[in-house]
Amino acid sequence: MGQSCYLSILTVCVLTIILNACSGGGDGGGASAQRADVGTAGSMSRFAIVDEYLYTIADESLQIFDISTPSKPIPWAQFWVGFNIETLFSYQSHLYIGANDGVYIYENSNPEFPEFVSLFRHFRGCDPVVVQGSYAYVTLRGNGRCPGSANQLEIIDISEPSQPTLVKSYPMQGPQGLGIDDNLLFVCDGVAGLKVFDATDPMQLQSLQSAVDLDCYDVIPLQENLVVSDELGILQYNYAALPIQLQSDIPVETP
Amino acid sequence: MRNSDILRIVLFITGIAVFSVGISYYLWERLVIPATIQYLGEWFPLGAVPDVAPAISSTTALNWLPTFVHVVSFSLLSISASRISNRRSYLVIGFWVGINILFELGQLFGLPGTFDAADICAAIVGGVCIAVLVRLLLVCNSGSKCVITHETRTAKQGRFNSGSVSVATVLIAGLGIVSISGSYTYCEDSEGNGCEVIYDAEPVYMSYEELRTSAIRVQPNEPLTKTGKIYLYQNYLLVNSPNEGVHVYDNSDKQNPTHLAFINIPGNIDIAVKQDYLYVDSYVDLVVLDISDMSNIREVHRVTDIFPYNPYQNVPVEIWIGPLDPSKGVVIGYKENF
Repeated sequence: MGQSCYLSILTVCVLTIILNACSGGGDGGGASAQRADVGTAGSMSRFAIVDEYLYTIADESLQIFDISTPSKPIPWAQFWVGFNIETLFSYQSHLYIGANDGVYIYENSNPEFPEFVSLFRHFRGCDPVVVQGSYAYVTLRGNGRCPGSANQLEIIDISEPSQPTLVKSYPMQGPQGLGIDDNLLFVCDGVAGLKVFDATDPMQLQSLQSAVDLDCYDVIPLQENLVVSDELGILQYNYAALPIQLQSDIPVETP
Repeated sequence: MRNSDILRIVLFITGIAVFSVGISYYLWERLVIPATIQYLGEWFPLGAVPDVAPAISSTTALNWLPTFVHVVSFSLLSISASRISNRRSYLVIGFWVGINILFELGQLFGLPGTFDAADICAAIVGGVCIAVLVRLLLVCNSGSKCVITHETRTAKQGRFNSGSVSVATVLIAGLGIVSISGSYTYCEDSEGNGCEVIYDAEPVYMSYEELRTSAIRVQPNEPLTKTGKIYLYQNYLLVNSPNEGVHVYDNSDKQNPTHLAFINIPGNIDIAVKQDYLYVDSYVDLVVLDISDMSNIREVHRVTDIFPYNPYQNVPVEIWIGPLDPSKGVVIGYKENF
């Protein structure tokens, strides 16, 4: 890797820091708190990188790879978590694993040995989870391949990870991926579209604009840019001001 | 023990035996665990999809069998549950024939499955068979009252605890309804609609050698055809095309992301990047790609057989692919047999 490459990475880092500061995002949440040498995933991800470790989930287990040499991951350990685990989200010193029957919380301050802390049980359904501050935001989808019939957004107080408690749940149509940046919460709610909420008060989510007419799967809100994976393409919106503004659209081409 | 008791026990055992034939048919012929049992299995895991070779090859010749079996077995069980009389027996038989016809007709109005007139016939034939059997077992007097052969009317007066009889009747009726509703709801497609399981399909494999030597390649001009998970790394936007690979875009200008490459990765669903190393799953393998130079993306490492072998990763659940031979490679799709 040449010197110019390092320089460009450094530039990107500095730019990222400046942009972060400019966006005034405060804590900034899981998404923008990432280091620049590691990327940012959406809520549906089954991969997560924490320091020198790559975590992956499949079926029932959490697989840990040692990536202290990034080019050569070494399978380090495998933990049995629970049945039908689907999504993985790392936030500060905890791992949040979305499963059909609830959210599994692991204490991860020692990344080579995540320790089970608690299971927040909910209705059966598919459930990506994202976390910011003291709250975890979970969508439950109960149709298609997902078991159960509950369709809702749940906000869980995780300030005491060993005792996650439901703060409030909001009815949804068929929610999938979601993302939060500061006080803006974005939810892909199936055919009901992409919804934008003000999550300043989890007890009283405020809908900030009418749903964007999409059938999206996942979102990443990062530095005022919302990337949306929609059935018909990849869309990007600027959310510096509301309503969110479409920046670009990479349409799906039918072969 | 009186004749009527013996007869009831015989009818009960015959009913159970016939019901077992129906269950075996589902397990071995259709290779489908009925939904009610699957649902229990989610709470008491039994293993979801058996990946064993079928004992009997799939045929469509006996599609009417479950309906026939259901009417016959539950008529026998219900008749055996309490005092046997002709009127009660015909009522019970009529009930089960009716229930089966109702579910079959329901398929014309939204219930999962395909309506088949043969099932209606099977229900009626099953009912008639049991009605004839009952008629043969009973001797009718001049009136409409009939009794069990060689037994006087006084002897058949019930001595049974009526409570236990009704419990048995309710249990049998419950099992009957549950079993039939289970058999009609075992399949949901990816949209959650009822569907028909396609039994006569076979897996299409990609050999481990192909997966690991020639499958990963960069195709600069491949268009985006499916969208999946998304990932942001520095100024790059990575988009997974489920089971196909990763599209890489230069996203420096968010109003105009430019396509840099498509990395063909069979069985890819997830992405993560650290220090210019892209981690991807490729069916059972974890693959590391060096993306420091986007014009020269290359595989640098691979951890083989680290993820579970999932034959349904790229096959809809309503397709029954079997028998499976994991030694042939990963399952990348299916082929219907005609």
